[in-house]
Amino acid sequence: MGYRLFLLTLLLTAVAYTISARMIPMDPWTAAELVNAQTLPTVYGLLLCAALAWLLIRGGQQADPPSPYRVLRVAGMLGLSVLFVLLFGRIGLWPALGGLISLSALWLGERRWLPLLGLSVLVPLTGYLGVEVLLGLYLPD
Amino acid sequence: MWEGISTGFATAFTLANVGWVLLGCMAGTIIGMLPGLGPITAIALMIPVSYSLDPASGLIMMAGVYYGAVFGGSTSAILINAPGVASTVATSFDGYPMAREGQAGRALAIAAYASFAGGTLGALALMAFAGYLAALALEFQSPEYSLLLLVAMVSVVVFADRGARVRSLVTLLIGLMLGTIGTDQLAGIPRFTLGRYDLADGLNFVLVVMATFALAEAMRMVLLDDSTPPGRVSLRELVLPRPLVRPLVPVVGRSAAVGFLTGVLPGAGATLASFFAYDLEKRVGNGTRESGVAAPEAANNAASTGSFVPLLTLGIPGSGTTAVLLGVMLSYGLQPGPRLLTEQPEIFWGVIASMYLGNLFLLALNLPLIPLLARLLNLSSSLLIPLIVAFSLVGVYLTTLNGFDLYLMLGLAVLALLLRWFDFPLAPLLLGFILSGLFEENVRRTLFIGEAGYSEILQRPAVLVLLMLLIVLCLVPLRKQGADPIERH
Amino acid sequence: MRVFLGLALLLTAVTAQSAERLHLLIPAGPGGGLDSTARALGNALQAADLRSPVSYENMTGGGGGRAMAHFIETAPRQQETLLVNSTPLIVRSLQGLFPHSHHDVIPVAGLIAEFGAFVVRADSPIDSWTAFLTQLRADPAGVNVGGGSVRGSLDHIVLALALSGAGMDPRRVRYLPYDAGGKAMLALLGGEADVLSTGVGEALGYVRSGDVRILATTAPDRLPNLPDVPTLTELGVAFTFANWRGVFAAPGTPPDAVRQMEADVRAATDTDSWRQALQRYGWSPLGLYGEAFARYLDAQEIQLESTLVELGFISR
Repeated sequence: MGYRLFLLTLLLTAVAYTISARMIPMDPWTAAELVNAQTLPTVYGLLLCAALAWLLIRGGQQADPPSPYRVLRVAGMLGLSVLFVLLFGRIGLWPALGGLISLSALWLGERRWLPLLGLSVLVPLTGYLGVEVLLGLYLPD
Repeated sequence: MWEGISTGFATAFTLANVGWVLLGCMAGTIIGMLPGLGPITAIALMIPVSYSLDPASGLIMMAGVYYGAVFGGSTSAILINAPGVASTVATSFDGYPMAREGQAGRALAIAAYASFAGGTLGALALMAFAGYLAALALEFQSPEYSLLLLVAMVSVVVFADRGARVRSLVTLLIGLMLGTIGTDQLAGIPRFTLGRYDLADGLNFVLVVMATFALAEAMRMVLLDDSTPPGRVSLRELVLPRPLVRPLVPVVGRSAAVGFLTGVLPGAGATLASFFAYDLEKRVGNGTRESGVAAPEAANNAASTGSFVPLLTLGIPGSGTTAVLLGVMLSYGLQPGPRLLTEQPEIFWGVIASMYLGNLFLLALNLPLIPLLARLLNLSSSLLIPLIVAFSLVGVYLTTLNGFDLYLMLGLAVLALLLRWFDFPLAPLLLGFILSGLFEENVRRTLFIGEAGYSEILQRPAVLVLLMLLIVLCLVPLRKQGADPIERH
Repeated sequence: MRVFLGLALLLTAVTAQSAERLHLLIPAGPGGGLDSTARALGNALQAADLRSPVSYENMTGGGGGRAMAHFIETAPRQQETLLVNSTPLIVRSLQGLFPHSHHDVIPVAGLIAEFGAFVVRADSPIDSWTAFLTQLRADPAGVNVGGGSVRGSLDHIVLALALSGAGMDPRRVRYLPYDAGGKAMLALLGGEADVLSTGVGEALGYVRSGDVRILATTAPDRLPNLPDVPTLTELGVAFTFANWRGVFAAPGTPPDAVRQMEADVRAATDTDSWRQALQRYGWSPLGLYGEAFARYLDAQEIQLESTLVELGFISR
């Protein structure tokens, strides 16, 4: 994503935020106040729009775009994280965690089997023993 | 008072209570290092153990759990840029870059010594001034808070490098805006919640910090294929060379003083303290990385000691953690407040006296762990990155037990990654997020009271001092001379 | 090592199986009033060997709405669970902040009543309820009444009910909200708020230390630990109010199981462990069970609804 496109996206979000700040429903008491539930969010939104507009007009440095290969690697990591969130409700937090660690290590190019499997088993096991057994924290299923 | 103090030491130094301090510190350190479990959870988890103790021992143990968890929290901030507690955010600014350059052992050692010094100085100050400081906490009302928080936010913008001021403003505002999500603190109106309960209590702090610091950093490492330089940490590195230590002594002293005074104020005490101390050292002090680690660590430990002032003398919890401690005290049938000091001096002074011992134990517990923990960074990045991602996801889940929060977190991490890619500093975002609710609440109350007349507010001494400070800060950007750029996150 | 020793002791204590298990769902974080109620109840149940083990789950979110929704959605799995709740449940469901209400769960027992109190600094020129009213009539903008929760919530509603009972327009009073009872007390002590609307328990310690005075309570009779403080009814305001804390069973729990839980909770409130907890925290017992508790809730719902309408927080 280019710098200007990023600034523009932020600017649009800021505008949307400001508009929805003006639409926060208020009871008559709050509405009568000098500074009410809408005021500060509106101020933040407008200030942000101004600051972003200034950055946009001034232009400025352009970071080199990352290579598509690197972006793909990040996207893969995010995808695996989403998969973890989707799955842990079904297969349990700790098994899903083991899966996340091993798959993402594979994705990042780890090929030594011993540390890969060792960590994927040991970390969730430590988590389970520490959090659920020793501390007795209740995790909803 | 001396009689009280000697009773306190007599209480704290019995064999059983020494054992409870040790147990508390150990439990606090261990729980504090686990992902997502900060001092609040640590104390809550130890509540059942405390039921079986008499009040003095129970509170001594719980205080140990509290500062043990604060002590343990800085470890993940330095090693993997994942501050688990708001008050260790500032530690990661310089601590994490040090770790990236193979100085993890040194950074952790400085943090441990500075925490020890800050905690001990805090306990000394608590003993000497507890009674007088209660008055300071009462002096600070909504107008003073509004101005103090404004000072904190303005200084993070004006003290940024000259080229990055607008960028700091942008991230500060994004943080403030993230903080407005959830139920309005004064009117009880849900704002920006899209009609979901998951958002009704606002975003969790651990979520925001793990997303913007730990997870975004891990993703950036993937993006840059950044590999960690190997750094071996031996026990020898824990002994800091004298030329390194000498300039840090005044840093720790100043920061502990700032931290203790800020910590006395109910509210965001320890967090504000660490940011203030960091800014102070970067601006006024020599600005080295070492002092950038020492300052916030000394300050937040002094501040968590300071937060016992309003709790013990006024019975008013200044933070979520002290609120849980208040619950513990109530469950013993103790009413913290002015009468605690006169009626149960052995508890009041016993807790304070135990803090000296606790800080000593913490140092002894943490130092030997440092080489072990620092070895984590020797893992290849293809193993380290999955571990950081796992640590932050599980940390957030254990904090909120809500799967929806993990999606939010991933979204925020993408935003933070983009912000970092385009050179926006992320520290102001966290500061804005942490202070947003407190700031808005106090500003609105101030103006609500002000409707009856501002003259009364303007006559308050602390208001005048803070107003003057604010004006001076606003003049900083007008200064001609270009200050040397300070590296910030 | 001592950690493990302590925890091992704890584990053996809770796994000694002799009675049925019970799970307590707490719609708030650790350390607050709901949490201490749940843990005091759990301790009493275990001490009397009525239920064992008792487990606790703190589920924050949506001002209690998330716990409520979770409890109802997963009701078939919650047959051995009691949800702890308090008056804000009724207020929030009336305000439409969450879709469920106490009608969607089975009231089992009302355990504790906390009465409202109007508090001033010991040296305040407002030295009685009458003086408070006089001051309000003369200069409503000059009196800031603080409270430990948002506008339109309990502390504010109790204030409004008391004032309209005294024949005043509650909308003219300036209510200054703080995000916790402790912060509100600090504001009173520091002089930012002139009068504080809060719970009796929140003020008790400061009354004992001589820092504050209570003008009046919303209790039906004078409280045993505050024999000198008048009630509003004595002062000619026909209004009593209690913030209850109680427990609820999940919808669809078999009637037998509900009756058993009710009997166990009733027996637990007759133990020394429970009486000690009441004493420690300064709680007043409510002692309403099953149907009687349900009727009490319905009556309170009507009372609160009319106030919220009058104040403009909800439209009928």
